[in-house]
Amino acid sequence: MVVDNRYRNSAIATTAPTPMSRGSRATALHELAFAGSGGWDKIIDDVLAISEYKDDWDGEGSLAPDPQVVVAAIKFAISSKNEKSPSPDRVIAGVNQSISFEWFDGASYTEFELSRTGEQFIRTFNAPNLQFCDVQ
Amino acid sequence: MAKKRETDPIADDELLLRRVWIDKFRTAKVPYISPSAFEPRITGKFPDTDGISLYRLDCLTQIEDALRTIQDEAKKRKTGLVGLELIEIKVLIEMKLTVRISPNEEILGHVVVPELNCTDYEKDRERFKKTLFALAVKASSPQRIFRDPNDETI
Repeated sequence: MVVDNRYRNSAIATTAPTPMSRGSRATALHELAFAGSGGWDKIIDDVLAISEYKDDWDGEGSLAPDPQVVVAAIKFAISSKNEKSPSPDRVIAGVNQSISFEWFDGASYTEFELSRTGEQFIRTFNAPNLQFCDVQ
Repeated sequence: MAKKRETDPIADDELLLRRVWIDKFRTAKVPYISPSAFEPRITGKFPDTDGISLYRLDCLTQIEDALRTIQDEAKKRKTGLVGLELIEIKVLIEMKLTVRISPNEEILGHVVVPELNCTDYEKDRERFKKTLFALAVKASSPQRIFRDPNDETI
């Protein structure tokens, strides 16, 4: 398990970010982002790229990620980097204005999702434990 | 020439294509495809009211036909296609998934998975997550990736 429940109660979860314009947000995020190095740098770059997504970013009508979700995602990435937590293998924008970090550890998969409703979710799945039913 | 008409019944071994944004391909790990590739769209211009969309490969003249409704060429280039057999969708134990033919005017072979609809997903998202993960694992097989937008040759 790479992510633990401490993130649920972190400053990210309890401090509502101040709404910013898209341009000023990107600038502020850049200032925050380039404070160190490691696998998180690529992830932070990807979050910054996601922060620039506009409505219909995927050509299928999806809305841009929620601005507060973007800020929470970058804060999470920076604090995790500073804590030298293992970096995720991928960060993605969801079709519902969320941002998710994903870790893969052999047969297990962990997802940390920041949703547009302000909720945060951590999920872990073990691929070998997946069950399938018989269909006639 | 398409192999099937869109009104033909769907065979269990028939491949159904899902459109997947480039970010959801980017990793060398497993599952290669992010589970979020199968997440029902709640917000935005086209919420998945009737279930997430898939396209029957056998109803298409060429695979790129499944991308026809993406108008922006740059976004189209960043969209991949993965395939699942009908039987692989039906055997998932957590949710009894089905596939329904749902013709639209723009792309032949449009089908939906009614159980993966935006209303039910919004009510209880956690119930869906294991199923989305299982779909992603299936779709991550190299034989099921029909168009990887990270492939610069496309």
